[in-house]
Amino acid sequence: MAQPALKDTRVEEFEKKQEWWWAAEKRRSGRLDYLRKAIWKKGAIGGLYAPGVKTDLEQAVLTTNMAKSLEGSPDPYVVKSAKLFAHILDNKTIFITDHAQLVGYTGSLPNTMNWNPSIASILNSEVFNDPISIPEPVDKNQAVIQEIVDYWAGKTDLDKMMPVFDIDDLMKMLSGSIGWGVPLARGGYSNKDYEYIMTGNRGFQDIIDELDKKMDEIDDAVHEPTANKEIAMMYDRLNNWEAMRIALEAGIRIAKRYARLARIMAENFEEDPQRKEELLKIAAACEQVPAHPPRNLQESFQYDIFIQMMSRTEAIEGAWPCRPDYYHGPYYDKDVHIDKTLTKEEALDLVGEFLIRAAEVCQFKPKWAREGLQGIDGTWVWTMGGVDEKGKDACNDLTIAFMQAARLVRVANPTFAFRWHPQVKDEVMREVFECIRHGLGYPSIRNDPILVSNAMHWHGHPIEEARLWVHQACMSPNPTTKHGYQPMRMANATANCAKIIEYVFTSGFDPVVNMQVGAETPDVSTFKDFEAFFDAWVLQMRTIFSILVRSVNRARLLAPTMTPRPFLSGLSERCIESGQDTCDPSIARGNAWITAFTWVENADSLAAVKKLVFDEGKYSLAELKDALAKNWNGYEDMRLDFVKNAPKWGNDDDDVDRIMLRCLDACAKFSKELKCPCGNNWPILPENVSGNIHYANIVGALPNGRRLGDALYDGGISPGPGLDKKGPTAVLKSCGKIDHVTQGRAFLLNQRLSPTQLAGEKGFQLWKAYMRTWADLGLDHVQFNMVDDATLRSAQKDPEKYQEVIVRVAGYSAHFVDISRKTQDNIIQRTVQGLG
Amino acid sequence: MSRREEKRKAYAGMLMPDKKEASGTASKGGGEKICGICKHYMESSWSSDGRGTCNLLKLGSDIKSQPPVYVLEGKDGYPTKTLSDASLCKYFEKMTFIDKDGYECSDPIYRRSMRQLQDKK
Repeated sequence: MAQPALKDTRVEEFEKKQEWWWAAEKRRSGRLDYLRKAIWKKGAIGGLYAPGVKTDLEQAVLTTNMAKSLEGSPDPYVVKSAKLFAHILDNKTIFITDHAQLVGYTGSLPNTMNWNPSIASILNSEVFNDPISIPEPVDKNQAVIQEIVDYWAGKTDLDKMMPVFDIDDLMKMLSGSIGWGVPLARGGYSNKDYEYIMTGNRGFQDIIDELDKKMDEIDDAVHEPTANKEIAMMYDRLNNWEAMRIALEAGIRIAKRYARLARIMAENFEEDPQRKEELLKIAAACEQVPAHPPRNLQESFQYDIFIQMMSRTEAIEGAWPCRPDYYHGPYYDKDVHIDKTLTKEEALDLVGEFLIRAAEVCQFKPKWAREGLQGIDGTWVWTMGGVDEKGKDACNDLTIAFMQAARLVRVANPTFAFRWHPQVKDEVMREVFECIRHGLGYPSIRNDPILVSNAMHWHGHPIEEARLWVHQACMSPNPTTKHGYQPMRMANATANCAKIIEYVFTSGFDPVVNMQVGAETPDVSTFKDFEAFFDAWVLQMRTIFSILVRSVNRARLLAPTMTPRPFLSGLSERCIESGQDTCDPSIARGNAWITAFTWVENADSLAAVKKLVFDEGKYSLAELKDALAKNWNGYEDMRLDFVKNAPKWGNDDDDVDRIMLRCLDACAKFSKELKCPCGNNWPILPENVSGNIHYANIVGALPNGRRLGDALYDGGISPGPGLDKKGPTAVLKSCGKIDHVTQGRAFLLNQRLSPTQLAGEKGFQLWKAYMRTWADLGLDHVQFNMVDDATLRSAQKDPEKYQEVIVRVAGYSAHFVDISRKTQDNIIQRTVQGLG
Repeated sequence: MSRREEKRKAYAGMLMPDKKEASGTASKGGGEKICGICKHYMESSWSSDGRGTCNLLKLGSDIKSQPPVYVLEGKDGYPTKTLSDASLCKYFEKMTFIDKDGYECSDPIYRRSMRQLQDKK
């Protein structure tokens, strides 16, 4: 039952001072306050996990022991994978947090991070070597970890994959200089076929019944008195179905364990009658889902949490694609408006708790992932708003409830991305604005008509499916439909694009990793004109992108047999129908993209070279090459010339804007030559997360005036910090010259706004006017920071007093005190745009 | 031997994790002479998965063989690992640490890759 917040007159004072976090503490219910404060923050701080957050050894031990026992088993590999998954769910420790109404966690304790040792040896080495997160007693547990690491050496997904990649591509990819991640089906971002399970109103038992029917049909077919190629291939389908069944049955069993635990607690240990009733409701919910479809909002959220927990048992998930207001909205409506079994306040408690459950989730991640995603475990970008498959406004009361709950619980992750369209009601836009104004850094705003067209243009999704898109990670749309959803987006199709321009000067040799990575283009000092220089840029771009895409393509082709995902397959209509693994490209439409980190540096650098070298003849390329090789040492005046006197993106300056478009055109053309195993395109998507910090020490000096070690620009098509001199409209106009449908997948834009200027009704109107310009110019994305410099500087000085300040980093939000000093300074440097 | 075979042989040590190398780290008292604490070692961009290259020795070298093979000419560095045993390598030179346990990458600003580029001759 929701406990009302204590009436506290200080709330208004806090809001007046824009100390939203104190106001939220006073406004939220006692339950939400308790649960919010009970969270162990698991995002890495700067790059290391916080003290007290420990690696969970339980799943690792269960996985290893079961794998050992299956070694002599005659089961096909996919069935063994499912049995291993089932063993974990059957034996993992479960708990129910005090005052919680929702259950399910990836680890065995609230402060632990799940570790799956079967995925990558390089991850296992990091677990062993991590200086902070090995649980007590350290010596004993390190010995346990060593045994696990030694067992899995040579047996992990990555160990099996590596020998079957092209050795050159593999070494370049593993250098980490041009890409970010490894191509694994069990280490990436998986969307789900929500239309099948949620709209289709299916529980696991319904799916098992369908599987049984399928298996009986094919079992009959393979025993007909004949033999041919089709029959020979049917056995794999039977194995896949059997594995899906094993996984789904395990999912039902663990829920029943939670139900039993809740009942035992209620009947034997709980004296408070109110809490007893809540525990019995938890038991009823876990007895219902996931075996059967949900009947109310609590069960609907519980179903979703179970699916996410189980998906993270099977694989490392770096994202959380979903559309919670759309899929859970009907249950909110039923409980609050129709059956009236929940008040709005009670529903808000559930919504807030759902956010908190998601915020707690954590799986041990490698250091480069933590540095690139400082402060969070992964990008849980929840898609809100938008339209339904018929194109009608899909915003509902749950959309509003999520916005309100977000302001109460103030978690940095999950973060929201709002699908704006022209029919969105003002009251919804107001709620969206209030979240931004309260300094959450979210929702980001997505232009729905543009992105629906984009999804149709690049990947051929029919319009009804394209309208059902969610964020697969932080930016890229992907439908939640039978053939549309993408089961694995491998993060290593993420290019460190600043290397493109760097390699033009080094003829493709990377000085950090000591290796020829890019194309061996001619010595830059031999180029006679800008066209020759630009041609070299294009070749480096094509080379880098090709290396990354080839790796992902290879892994995607091999994934169904080498790294199957029986649980994820069991939630997918196309897998149930066909008997193929979810990653099988033959049954999917494909939704690949190349994330382009550190992108704008290219346009600024090319523009600088064009102007100062070729147009004005002020410097030679040989001179510039030498200056960059020496990190501008001895060339400071020249460096400042390249900083101040060359045009910069984001100022509505055609000189540089035309170059940006030319770069994007080259990429767009190449995107259609690159094909994924589904036969579909590979468009680029400029954005950064905190890759601009992770790569700062890896990218050398650049012709935009940057030195080695300087933070790179903060994301997507955002201008360099402080380099946009002509105001917010100029930024929008530069970005508006890009065709956000045909020139790429999507384009991230960070903007900082003044919280003082945007106070009150006037602030809302100013913001709406800005958004109208944004929409009219056809941009697909924008996200806002609305925290002033004084607060951020104070937070740097006294972090313990500003634990709850949230900032928008790039495709995600994080608590300011959880990101490194360098990232903090980079955010402070971003230009505060004055509107009106 | 084909070019592919040569490359595969040169990179073979990087493909599979070495069980022996899981038994210690530079910060936890792993061997006196390991590649990770040598001046010439360039760790990979990821800085945390234990892979890197030698800035001095080139592709084709092998410091684990008896006697070690030293290739000093060529473009690509010799692929090795942080915990690779360098006791046989005559070019080993211990680096100067900033902090005492060798694990100095707790904030990207102190990343080794930046220092190693600045120190690189």
